Amino acid sequence: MKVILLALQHLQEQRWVLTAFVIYVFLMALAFGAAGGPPGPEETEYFARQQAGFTVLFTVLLAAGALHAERRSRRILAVLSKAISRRAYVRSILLAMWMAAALYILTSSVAVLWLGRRAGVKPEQEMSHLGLAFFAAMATAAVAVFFSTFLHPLLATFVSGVLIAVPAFLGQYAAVWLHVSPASALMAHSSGMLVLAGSFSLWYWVTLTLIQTIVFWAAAAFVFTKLDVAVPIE
Amino acid sequence: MTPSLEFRDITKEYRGIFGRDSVRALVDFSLAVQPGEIFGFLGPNGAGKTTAIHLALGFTYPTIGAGSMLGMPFGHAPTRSRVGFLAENVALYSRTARDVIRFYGALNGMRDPVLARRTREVLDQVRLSAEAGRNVKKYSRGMLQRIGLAQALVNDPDLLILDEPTSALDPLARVEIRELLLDLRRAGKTVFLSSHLLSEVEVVCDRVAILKKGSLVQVGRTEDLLNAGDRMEVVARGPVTLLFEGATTNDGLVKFSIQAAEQRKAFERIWNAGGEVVSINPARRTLEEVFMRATNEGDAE
Repeated sequence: MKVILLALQHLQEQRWVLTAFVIYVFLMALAFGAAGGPPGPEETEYFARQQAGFTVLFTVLLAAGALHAERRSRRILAVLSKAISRRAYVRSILLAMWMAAALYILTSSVAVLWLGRRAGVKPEQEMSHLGLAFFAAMATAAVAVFFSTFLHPLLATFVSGVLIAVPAFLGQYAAVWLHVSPASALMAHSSGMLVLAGSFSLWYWVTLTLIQTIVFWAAAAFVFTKLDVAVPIE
Repeated sequence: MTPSLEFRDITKEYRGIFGRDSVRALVDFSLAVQPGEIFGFLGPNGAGKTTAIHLALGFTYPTIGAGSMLGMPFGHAPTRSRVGFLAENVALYSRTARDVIRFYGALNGMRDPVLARRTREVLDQVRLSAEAGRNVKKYSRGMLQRIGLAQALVNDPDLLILDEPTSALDPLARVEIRELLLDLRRAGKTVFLSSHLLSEVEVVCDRVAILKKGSLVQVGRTEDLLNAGDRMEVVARGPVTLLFEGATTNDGLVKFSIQAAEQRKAFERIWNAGGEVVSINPARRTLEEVFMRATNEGDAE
């Protein structure tokens, strides 16, 4: 309960950024769906794939800065002076980031459904892209929060970006690279960078991505319990 | 009796990148705060006071040594539900004052109806009930400090740790906070008070510790520290000003201090000069004098 309360507070701290994201999605959907006549099926799919990629990108940006903002503003002191453990605090940050990603996916889904209706198609595949992007966003949030426990947010964003983007890029040439960061596989697949085919099903990658999420979540909690939190990383 | 707060041989070193520019904020620091006392924690800026508080609350970890709070090791999260903390620079979430109190109370596991009742009570205690519906980001610094104190009190803590609680308050509010601290002591609570306002500390604290460059230089009962030991303060009337070094005259009364053992000799000198003794009392120092002496010792070397 405390973790949910705190997560909702973290989410509230990001309310203006999230509002901007939601407006952006609707504006983009309007641009795709209303400007120059009704959209075609390709445009609906392109929009969905684009939003899938953006979900991961925005989650990294939000997650890499969340912990730093709390430490720098010193709001973290009042929170951690209560009966909240460091591990619970990390859980609350992650939960907030997942909720933010879910909100973005939900908004994008509404936009895709509207586009699909205008295009006269059932956007089932597009919706599955967005679903996969959510799993990828969960893992990338955990990765970004992990790096932000000991790196400046800019550096954490960069390192997280490299960890997600490089395997996705190399995965186009050899699928083995995708095992370095399974979230990259889902991100690349849902955004159309590559098609996951062969001996591994999508559920295989989803499972690996969930494992990646748990590993980085645990690592973030471990590192965060060892740190001096009163001093922000500069 | 288990101390409410105990630091045991703690050294805290802040290390720079690759171990360079390391700073020792606390060195072999040991201190025990007993239940039910108001403990004054003094020291110049950079002495290590806030570091000690952050160690107790588990925000940072000691490089060497250990400590306990309410009988549990530093950093034990459930124990903090019995602790209240007010930071030097109050930083709270942007909500109405009432919501802020409710939020931090809920983080300590409090639920309605207790939380609702305590929220009303602490807002009354810090005189912010009329402003409870305003967002705290529109508060003045003094009001922020009061709402910070309210969130520290909402869980009715056994141990209250205050880092400069009255620095932004006007004199009236300071008196109110002082009364509040005395009420807490009467209720058997422990207060660990870090402050630069020595006159406040002198009035409310049972014991005082003075920290300098990370080390304790003085600790003891406030009464004992203020007592000037074997010196007596004499007030006399008559032509005796020139007889005693450092004597001052005010409204025809001459005031000076002497060694207790020299009382008889001093009285005889006064009487021989045709004067009379009006009063004689144990000399008392102010906490400021004690503080200045403790923190300046050794600096001249």
